[in-house]
Amino acid sequence: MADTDSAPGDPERGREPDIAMWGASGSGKTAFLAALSIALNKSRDAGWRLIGENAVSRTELAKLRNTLLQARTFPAPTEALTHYSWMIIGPAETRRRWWWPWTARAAKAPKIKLDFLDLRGDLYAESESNIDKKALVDSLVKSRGLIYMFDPDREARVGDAFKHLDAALHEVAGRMLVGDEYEDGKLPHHIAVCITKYDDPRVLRIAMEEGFTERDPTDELRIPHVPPDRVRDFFRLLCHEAHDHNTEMILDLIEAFFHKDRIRYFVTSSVGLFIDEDLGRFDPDDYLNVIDDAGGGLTIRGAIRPMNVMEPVLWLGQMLRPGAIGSRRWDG
Amino acid sequence: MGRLTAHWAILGKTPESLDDYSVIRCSAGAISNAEFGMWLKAFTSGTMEPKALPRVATSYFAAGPDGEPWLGLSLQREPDSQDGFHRPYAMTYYVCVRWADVVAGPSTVSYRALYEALAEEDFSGDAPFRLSLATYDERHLAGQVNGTARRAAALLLTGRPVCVVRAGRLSPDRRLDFLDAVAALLPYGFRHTLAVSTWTNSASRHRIRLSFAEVPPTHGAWELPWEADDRPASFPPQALLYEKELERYQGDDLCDLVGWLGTMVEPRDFDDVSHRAAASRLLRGRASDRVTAYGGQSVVRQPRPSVEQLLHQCRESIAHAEEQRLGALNAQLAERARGRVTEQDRKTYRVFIRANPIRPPERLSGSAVVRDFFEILLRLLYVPPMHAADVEEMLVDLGGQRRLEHGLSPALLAAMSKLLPVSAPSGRLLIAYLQGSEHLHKVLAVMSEDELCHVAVRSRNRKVLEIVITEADRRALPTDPRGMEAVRYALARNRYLIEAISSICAAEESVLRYQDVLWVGHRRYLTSADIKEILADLDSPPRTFLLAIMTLGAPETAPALLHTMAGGTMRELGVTGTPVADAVKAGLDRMLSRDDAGDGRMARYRRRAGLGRLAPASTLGKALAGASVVLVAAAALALWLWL
Repeated sequence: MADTDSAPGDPERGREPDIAMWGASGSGKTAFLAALSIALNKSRDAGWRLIGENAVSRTELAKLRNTLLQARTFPAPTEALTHYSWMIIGPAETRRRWWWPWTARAAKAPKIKLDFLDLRGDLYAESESNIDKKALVDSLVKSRGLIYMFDPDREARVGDAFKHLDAALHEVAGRMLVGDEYEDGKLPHHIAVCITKYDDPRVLRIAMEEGFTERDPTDELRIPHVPPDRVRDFFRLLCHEAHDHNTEMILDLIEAFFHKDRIRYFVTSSVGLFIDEDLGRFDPDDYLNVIDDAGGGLTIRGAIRPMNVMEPVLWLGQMLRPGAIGSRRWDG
Repeated sequence: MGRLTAHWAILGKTPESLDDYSVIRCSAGAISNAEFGMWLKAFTSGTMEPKALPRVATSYFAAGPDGEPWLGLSLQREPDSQDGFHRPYAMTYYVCVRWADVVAGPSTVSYRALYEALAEEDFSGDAPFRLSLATYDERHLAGQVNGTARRAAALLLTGRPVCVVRAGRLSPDRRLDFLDAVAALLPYGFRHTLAVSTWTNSASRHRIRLSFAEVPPTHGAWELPWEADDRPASFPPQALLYEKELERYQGDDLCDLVGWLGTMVEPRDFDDVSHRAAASRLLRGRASDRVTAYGGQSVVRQPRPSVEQLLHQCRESIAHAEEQRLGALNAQLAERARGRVTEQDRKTYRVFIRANPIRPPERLSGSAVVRDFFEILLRLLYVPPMHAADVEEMLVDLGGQRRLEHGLSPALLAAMSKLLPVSAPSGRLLIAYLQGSEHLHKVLAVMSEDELCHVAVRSRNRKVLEIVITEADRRALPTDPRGMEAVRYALARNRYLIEAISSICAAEESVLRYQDVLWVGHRRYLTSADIKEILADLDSPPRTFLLAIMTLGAPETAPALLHTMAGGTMRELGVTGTPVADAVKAGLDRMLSRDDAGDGRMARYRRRAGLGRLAPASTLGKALAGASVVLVAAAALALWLWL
């Protein structure tokens, strides 16, 4: 390998992340990633797998899985800009030959490359002179998909989501929209807005009391969920409930900067709701899956059933695949 | 012990806090809270992992309007409490000192010293600390150096970070000592831009240049497995050269090197190609010349050359007959010999001497300075006191490729005889032999026959054996019965040198050696009485010894030999006095009987076997001989008549 004079430890050299994570401290970014492979494993559409593309990412993936599955707790707060190179491999599709349509043949398995950038939540609030901040904004400019994590619990207690999002969006927009490349004045990213911690009583109670939840008749566990067409409204409501009045502007801020058809809203939970095995279905009086342990930390009580963790990633992956409808290349 | 003013900060969270990591307390003065936060976060080792704690890391930064350089060290621990999201978090305790203060003191500062000083503080109030720092301990640092440290130091000079893997079992203390040792193998000034950590997370973006990790970062860093021999792929030549140079320093030399590098405090930057290149060239030929190449500046003190370099210079001095210079070099070499010399060091020096033989010219044959040099050399090469085995080694090490025994310098031999203790007569014998027959006779003259044989048995040295047998042969003259008796007695007491001969010689040579010994002891073919006497005191004599007896057996001694051998074997097997012993004796008598009955049995045997007695001479032969006589007579008669 050639001698270089670069700064040490530059894992992103020559490769920018496809998907960047975005969200305040404690909003559940790393837990979301930890739950991703579990969600894929538990998917009804069997055959999706998450693998690490290199030794570092494989090691980190194993660590994250073990934290949830073995230690039954949550990952430690992210201290530094962290890069994961993962890939989702789906089941092989079947195709029929046009000249002999009576038999099908296996085609290539779909592969979605996921380069995630996880970060400490306060990095967006740092000054531009911060080296990590600069690297982060660079990567956001060059990334193609965003996962924005909105933590209603944190917003109810702290309320700093707008501050972080606003600062970051303006920096990215300042870099991308000044020129003529994007004449419509919108950022070209696809963005999955994820309302996290659906299993938190405050979040679920609001959803249920305000009538946003439905029961899927095919779901044996009878878990209440927010139907996709109502998530946006639910998000707006949660923003209104926040500690900071500015938070209610978040939805408008997002829709002002991104194309509406490139925004999708999800209600997520990394560990899901507790289901009593004896009862075999959701119990509105006993669904806490994350409880305090003796040491003052948190522990996962029952089975891990990630909710809407896989869906935002698959959606972004499909949107970003070359040739996919809605995908669009740019040079940043 | 030095004292330095240190500023400090704590990066972490208060229990139950919903905030991100921030500086929750710091000293007042030179560095603001925001600056502390910025630099601490900039030099993070990555997301906390419980198994990696406590974690120690170093960092550097410039602060103030003049960009004053600082050196920092952090200790990260996990508190018992959780943050507001019930998550574990880390508390980072950080101290930083001005680079100028670090290098201005009487001694530079190691990472360990800084760490230990930090651990003593309670991080309360807002006043800067006055750290009590241990002095730079070259010996401790040199003691931590292993092959991985040398390679890491060499690889750092490529400008790329180094990540040590497969070392998760090492304690944080050991990892810190390793990082300190690697830094100590480079000019101290590089610590000015060296960030190290006892553990990093390779998925995290960090700017730690030297660290331990579970796996290396995907791009840009050298992966260095702990204590693995294989070099990384595409190992750069300049790194290989530096590593090789470092390998030459062992023991005290390594301590000296670390001390010398510790004096090179001018700030150096790993990102500066010229600084790295200058460092790569630093160790080349540092012995003889005052080093001025490094950074264009002369160093504080001249480094001590390595022992190999000194030996090389001594060799040159001897070759050019420069006694004065050799005398000065002797002083330096003697200082090294008085210090700690490990067995590995001695091996290294011996290899060097074999590859670079030292041959004093004729005009220095009587030089006391050369003799002193060889005396010091021998102290370096062999563990005192010297033994005969060392002399053998010396022949290999100093005798040159052909191991010329008589080509050794008199000065060397004089030095050896001076070093060999009185309790090493075999060595003295060898030295005397190498010095010449006159010296040898002097030594032999004061040795009794018994001492001679004892030396041969103890030394188990071929040359000593040869000397002893030759001397015994000289003393055991048939005209001197007392001398003969003394030699024979000494040989018997020392079991006919069986232990020496059997351990030195192969089968055929053994037989010949035993022949020599037996002949020296008896000066005649062995009689039955001799054979019985020789074998009486020997349990399980080797077969080669028995063969030697057979080669010297007098007529009619076969029964005695056979009976003695049988008797010895039965004693050894513990069957004496049993029916088996009687049967053996009867069998021997039958085998060795000479009566008619015996002849008759033999004749019958031969007939049964179809073997007739061969006639002494055939009839045809007799006829031919008679005819020849007749022909000769007739020819003589005819000649006489014709004449």
